Amino acid sequence: MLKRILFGIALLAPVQVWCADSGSILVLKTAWAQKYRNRLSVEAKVTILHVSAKEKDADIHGGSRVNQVGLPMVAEILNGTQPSQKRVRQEMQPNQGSSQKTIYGAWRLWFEHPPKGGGAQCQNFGSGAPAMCDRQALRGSDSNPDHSFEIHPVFAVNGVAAARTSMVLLPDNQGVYDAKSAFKVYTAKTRKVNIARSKSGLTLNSTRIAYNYVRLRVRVTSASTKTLRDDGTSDGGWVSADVVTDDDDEVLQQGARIFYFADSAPGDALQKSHSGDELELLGIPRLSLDTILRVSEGKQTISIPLPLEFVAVALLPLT
Amino acid sequence: MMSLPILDVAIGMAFLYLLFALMCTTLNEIIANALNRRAKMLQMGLLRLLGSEDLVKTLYEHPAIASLAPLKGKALPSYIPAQRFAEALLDQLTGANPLTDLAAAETGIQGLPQGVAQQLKALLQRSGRSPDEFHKNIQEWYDQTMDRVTGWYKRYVQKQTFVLATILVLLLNLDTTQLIQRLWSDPTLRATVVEQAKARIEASGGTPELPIVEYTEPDKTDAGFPVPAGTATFTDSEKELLASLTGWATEFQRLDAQRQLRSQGEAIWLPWLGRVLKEHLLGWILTVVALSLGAPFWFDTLNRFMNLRNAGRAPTEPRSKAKPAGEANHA
Repeated sequence: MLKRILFGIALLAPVQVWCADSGSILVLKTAWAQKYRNRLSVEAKVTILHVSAKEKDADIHGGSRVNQVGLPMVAEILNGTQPSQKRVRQEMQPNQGSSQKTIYGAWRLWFEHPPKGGGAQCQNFGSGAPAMCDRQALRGSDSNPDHSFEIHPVFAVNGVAAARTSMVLLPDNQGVYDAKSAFKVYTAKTRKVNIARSKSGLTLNSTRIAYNYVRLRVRVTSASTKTLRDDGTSDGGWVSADVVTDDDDEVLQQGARIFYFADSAPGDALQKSHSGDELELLGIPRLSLDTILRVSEGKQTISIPLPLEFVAVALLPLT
Repeated sequence: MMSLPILDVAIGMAFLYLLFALMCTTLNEIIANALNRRAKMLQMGLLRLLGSEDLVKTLYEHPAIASLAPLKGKALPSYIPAQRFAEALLDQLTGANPLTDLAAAETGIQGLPQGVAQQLKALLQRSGRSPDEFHKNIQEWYDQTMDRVTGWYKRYVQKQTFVLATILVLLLNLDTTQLIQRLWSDPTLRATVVEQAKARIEASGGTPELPIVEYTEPDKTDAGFPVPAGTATFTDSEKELLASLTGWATEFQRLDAQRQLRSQGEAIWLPWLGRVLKEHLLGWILTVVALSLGAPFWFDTLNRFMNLRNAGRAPTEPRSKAKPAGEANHA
């Protein structure tokens, strides 16, 4: 008897130290995900609560809890404090006209600021979230509420364009990582996205991840495919490319989709690129809705490595 | 693959604790939602912060805060952003004057209970009479209190989990020592439990319970709201396993046997109860402690035991080349 009890105690004691973060949950509407899986951008009416001062990566953030995407979110203007961004920056201020703005930019799903301590945020176009979506906006400042959805980069606010002038790499951006370090984190063995799929909903679960800006050396493997914006016109596209390291030509990701906005320097270069061309870009990673939908088709649950794609936000000199 | 009986017993126990803890979590959520605990804790926090029921009531009626409630006039909000709180409070202090009118705010402060008035005066002084700084200071003050409210809620959930675990343990006779003994002495049961644990890890998508959600208006991309459609909860084989390992059937059979053998006037309940307590009390205590650690903890533990089990290679298994790092990511 004593032996059994001691064994039970021995079993319980050491496991306490193994306690770990089980991540947070994001619920999306499948129809919405289907619509945006091959798109660069989203255009939505967004009620901005507050606009931040300059962030470490030189962006400025406009936080929102009420918007047409149905998720707590942040809209980020690249190099937002630069004089060239004055008009769009002012346009985003909640006290400039109405606090509801029409924001157009690249959609981005990324578990960078999920609710602290776990919990679920749900895409909701109706009123009153169910109790399980209890972390809709539990914590965080008004310019940066807990969120896993962003419009980043912002291309225009109320029709005031930001794209071409903002999509450059300036020394102010202190948040740029080399691809090797970033991919070490993206592809870590424990880095997973867990998916539960129903007929109309997608539940995603993962742990927090940062590494927002990455220097990417890409080798184009297929020509550009055009993307459509919400009004049906084309606003850019994506190329398929291998992400390689600068020094030893190691392939970090095969056939990654690199999205671009047409009216930008990286857009100019990627539109003209051919198979085999090499480019140096600044990329923002996002979860690939296309991969998530493809791998979860016909399954109730599945666990996959981080499904990555990138939005090119600056063209860099080839080293 | 490493298959040591002691490791398999550990896996079996972690798996059973996970299933029991999931029952506790589900019950906990049902109770917290039914009692609207989050909103009530927030209300308590505001009362502690402002020290006046009337002021708290006025703030809840302010449009900036009233609009956060899920059902107008019926429920209290579960969360109030710091900025909205500061705006509503300043609006209350300044009355008809602009929110930036610090003289009006000072007059408003005079009318508040002494404790909160003192606090706000200190915040006003610290702001160097800058309206923006004062606004920011109120937000920080509120955030500090909300940190405490989060702490209260966590402690409340922990306490409730402990109570629910105790009830569950007694209702289902969840005795850790007995379960260990059964797993240790029955290789067939052990293998079944390990297989089921493996199946759960593979099917769970990496979390103890991943909610399945359906949407109203499923075909529209910009309308509809989420409706929980359950979780990937217990499979039929897990339910069968739980039914076979838990319950009072054996004890009641013993009681029946004693009843048939008893002499006239001989008490049977007390000796039976004494024996049950002697046999199970320690096992129950261990189970309650284990369940108090929560489902995510046991899921993580189970994962680690499984990794340990999968790390070793059975002598009959062929050697295979490891997959290159990062290969799996090439979607």
